[in-house]
Amino acid sequence: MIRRAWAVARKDMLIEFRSKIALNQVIPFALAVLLTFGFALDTRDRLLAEIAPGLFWVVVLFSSLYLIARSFRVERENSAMEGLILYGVDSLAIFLGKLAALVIQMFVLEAVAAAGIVILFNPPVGSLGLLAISAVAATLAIGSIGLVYGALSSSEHSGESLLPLLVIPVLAPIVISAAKCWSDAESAGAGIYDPWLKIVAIFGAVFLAVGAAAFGPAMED
Amino acid sequence: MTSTLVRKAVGVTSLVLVAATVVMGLFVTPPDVVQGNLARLLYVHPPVAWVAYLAYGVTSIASGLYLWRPTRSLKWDRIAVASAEVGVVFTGLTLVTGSIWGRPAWGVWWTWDARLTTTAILFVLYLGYLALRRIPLSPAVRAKRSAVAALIAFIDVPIVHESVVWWRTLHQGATVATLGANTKVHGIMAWTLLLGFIAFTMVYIWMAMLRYRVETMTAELEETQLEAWEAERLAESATGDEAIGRLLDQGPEVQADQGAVRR
Repeated sequence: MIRRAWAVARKDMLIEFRSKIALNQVIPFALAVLLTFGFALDTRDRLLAEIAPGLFWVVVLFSSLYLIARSFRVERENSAMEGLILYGVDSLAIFLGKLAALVIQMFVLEAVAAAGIVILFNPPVGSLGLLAISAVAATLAIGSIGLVYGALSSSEHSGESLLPLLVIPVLAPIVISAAKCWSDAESAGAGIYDPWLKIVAIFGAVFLAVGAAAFGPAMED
Repeated sequence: MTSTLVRKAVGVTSLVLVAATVVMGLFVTPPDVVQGNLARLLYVHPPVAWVAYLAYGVTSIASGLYLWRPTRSLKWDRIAVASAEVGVVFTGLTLVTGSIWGRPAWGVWWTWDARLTTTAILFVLYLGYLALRRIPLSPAVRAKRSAVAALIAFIDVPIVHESVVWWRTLHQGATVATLGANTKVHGIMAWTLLLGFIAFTMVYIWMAMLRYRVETMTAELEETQLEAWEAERLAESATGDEAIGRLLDQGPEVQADQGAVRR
């Protein structure tokens, strides 16, 4: 199963390497949103630094929705997903493979967005470890839930805004806890024993499990 | 026939009970010592919120029963959507009545209290569920997908609630505690509140029954339309066959004629 998951992940990464949608569109989109926040909220340094944790996760969540939608658009062309199922690829392998490819793209997106925020808004960074671990947990959660809803809403007749409408409220706990982790990571004494890190890790594990369990029934019609 | 009778009985009962709640809540019960007439919202707001939770509970159970193979039936899907729609209406009412209460009591229409925030997310969550149901798909596929979405929402709600409680620890408390105190104050107020709960639960049952019937009728209509369309196509293909047959019969003659012309 690991081999099949790996094959699916490789396929998705290969599509990205050739089309460069994430690199050429989604990441620049995230940067454009960051700049817009700067304009909209005025460049009062203190304010932007204070709300940087929340802005980061809003930007990442919204940009990820494009990556998730993309992840399913490539499967719908030529009914590729049916092909995978007909080949007898286990739905869990498809889930893990697509999740791996999605998470890798999201990591790149997050790294760029985080760098953008640190440079543009200038928040203090106390603990990189806390930031990194909380980001991994939150990314897995966003990816898992996003894939399930991507499968659920996958149809020619579903509007573009259906996926965000479905995903955003479900992921509210992740946005709350991950943003809190970043807030805590700003203080100098912060470490990886932060209470919010525990919470985001638990939520991440729950959403990953829910995603893995629900992806099969959501995808197989 | 009996189902129509039951529906009518439930409808009349719920209307009578709501009317009774209005009379009791507005005219019979005394105003609250602290909140005055504002406390009369007590007979509406908590019952409405309870109905919203009840409705989502029913949706979750029905969705689970649909996904579980031994009990899989589109009946459960119809119950799920009927209940969810009424649930969304009542969640909206909960938010509105809560705001009306909150403005004079707390001085704001909205506060980021855990209960309020969870209810707001609940509202959007199930709006999403209803939007998902609007995608044109075959009934079985739609039922399965929406059942999965309903169950994820069901798992998500307690997580959202916990996270918001932790997020807003400072603002917690108050809501239910004060309600509990209020109900102990005066006997008739407690009874009116109970009446409100029963009345709005009956309204829920009535609305869900009506909605279930609409859903069943829509399915039947689609079926009939499909059958009519099929019959039409069959008839068309039959006449088409005849036309082709006629052409084939004439075939050689036509060719012969053309040959004659060419010659």
